[in-house]
Amino acid sequence: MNRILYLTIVREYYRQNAIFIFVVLMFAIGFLSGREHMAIINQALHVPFVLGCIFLIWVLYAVKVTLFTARFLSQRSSEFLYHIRLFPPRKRIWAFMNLQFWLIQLSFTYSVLMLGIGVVEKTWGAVLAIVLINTGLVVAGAWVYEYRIKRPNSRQDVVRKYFSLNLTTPQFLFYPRHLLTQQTVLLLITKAFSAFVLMGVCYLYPTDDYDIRLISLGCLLAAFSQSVILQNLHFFERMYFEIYKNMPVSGLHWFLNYLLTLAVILFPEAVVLARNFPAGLSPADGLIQFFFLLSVTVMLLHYQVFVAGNNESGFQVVFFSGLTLAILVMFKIPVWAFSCAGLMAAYLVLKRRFYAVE
Amino acid sequence: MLKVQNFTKSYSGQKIIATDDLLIPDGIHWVRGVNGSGKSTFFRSVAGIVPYEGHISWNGIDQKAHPIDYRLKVNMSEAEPLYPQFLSGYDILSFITKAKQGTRAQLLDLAGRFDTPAYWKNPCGTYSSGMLKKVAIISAFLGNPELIILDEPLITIDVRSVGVVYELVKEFYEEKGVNFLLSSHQDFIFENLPILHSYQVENQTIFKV
Repeated sequence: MNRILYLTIVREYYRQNAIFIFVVLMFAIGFLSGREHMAIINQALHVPFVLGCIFLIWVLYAVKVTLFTARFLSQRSSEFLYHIRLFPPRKRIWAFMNLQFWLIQLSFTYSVLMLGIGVVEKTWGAVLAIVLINTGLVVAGAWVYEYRIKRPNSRQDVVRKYFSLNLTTPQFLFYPRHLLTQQTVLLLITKAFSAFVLMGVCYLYPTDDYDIRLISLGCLLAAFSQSVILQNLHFFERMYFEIYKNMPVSGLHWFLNYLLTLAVILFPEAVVLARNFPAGLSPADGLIQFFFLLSVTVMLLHYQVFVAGNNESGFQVVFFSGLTLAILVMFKIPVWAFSCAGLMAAYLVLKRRFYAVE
Repeated sequence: MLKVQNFTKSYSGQKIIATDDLLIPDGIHWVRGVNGSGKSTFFRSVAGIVPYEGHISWNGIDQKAHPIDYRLKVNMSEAEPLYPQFLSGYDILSFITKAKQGTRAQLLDLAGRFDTPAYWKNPCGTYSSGMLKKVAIISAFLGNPELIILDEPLITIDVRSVGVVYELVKEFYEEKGVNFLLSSHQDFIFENLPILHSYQVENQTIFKV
């Protein structure tokens, strides 16, 4: 039973949430140094309020993983898991506790670090509280799964009763959510590559007397590395949202929507730029470079979706336009002006071709 | 009145459906044709979902010249809707309500008739084909349409929901003057719906029967 739960739920959870965990780790390790973590943990071990705040984050994370499992169990493909009810209760609950334990590893691993420091510091009250909260999260999760497994088809009622929120996914997040849940590997590889490129060019600055063009070239490469993601956006909309063409909304609406979608997709690049931007360059330069990265990506999207479509020769045009742009950057074109002109061109392409694409 | 002029729809150079001049008056109309005859392609062209050659206008509003005004008046429900697994029916319907300038009250009323609030906040990946179909049918009634195209509205849904579809079509036609283009391989129950004309899609064209 443990193996089945691990293979079906735990693996699927980490597969679907790889980016979420990556982002959390990036924030945890990228923004806070080891010394800052130690300071926070020391504060938490001595100040109950800080410890309470950390517990609240762990509880929220446990709610997230529990809702994931509950939702997973409601899928038709998971119906076979209801046979778990045929196992003896003690064995079943133990398996659910095990399941919850694997799912909360993100917070549990941090709690182990806190426990270690708490033992060294001899803050026994905090240590006991950490043990109790972890036990509580595991037991509570197991209880929810036990409740759920005993009541097939009742999840909707329970969830609705307590979480009857009218929150909806805004349209500009449809595709980022698709990437996060269905195209995780593509997203991870693309982001890893573009982050590597941007960090690489940033780290080159202290080694020689480079000007802003090097960052511009990095942004250009990072933008072009998104091209498979952009091509998939085309397939995603053709597959699920052909009905968009029946919506009475303006070209400007669609354009802004694509702009927001791409700004969300490029958020990791923005974080990498912000964290590693060379000291000699101004924050305004940083904003202009991100604007350049965004606008080139927007232009690429509009070319790939509204001009090239399913035509594979479009990639040749993408390749040669990338080379041309790189040469223009080397000749010091003002990237902000180019970005504005590019966005305008992209909007005109959309306005002209939106209904013509099939 | 729906006016279709010099209309040709082709895929990869192969003609699927064409008509030089077709006028469909106000009312409820039944469009028939065997599988692959081009019914859905015709409907998708009328809804503005696929590009075509020629002109289609609704009450004088040309689809190409006035894309937004036209799409405010013409709604469509697809025969076999497909939505992303991770989005909920509520996400999709909320988006369409906003785009079609409908109201939340209207959405709740329509959803309530099909009992969709029982599941609409769950991801679409958990839906049966009938549940998906109900989401698509509701989407076609949102806003203030003057023409609603329902492609195979009776397939995959349960008997009670079939009754709701008849009820809605009749209500929207009689009380709001909304016009309908319907397609179905099953016979519509004529006493339930005042169908004005039937059209046949055959030999790559569409004509009145």
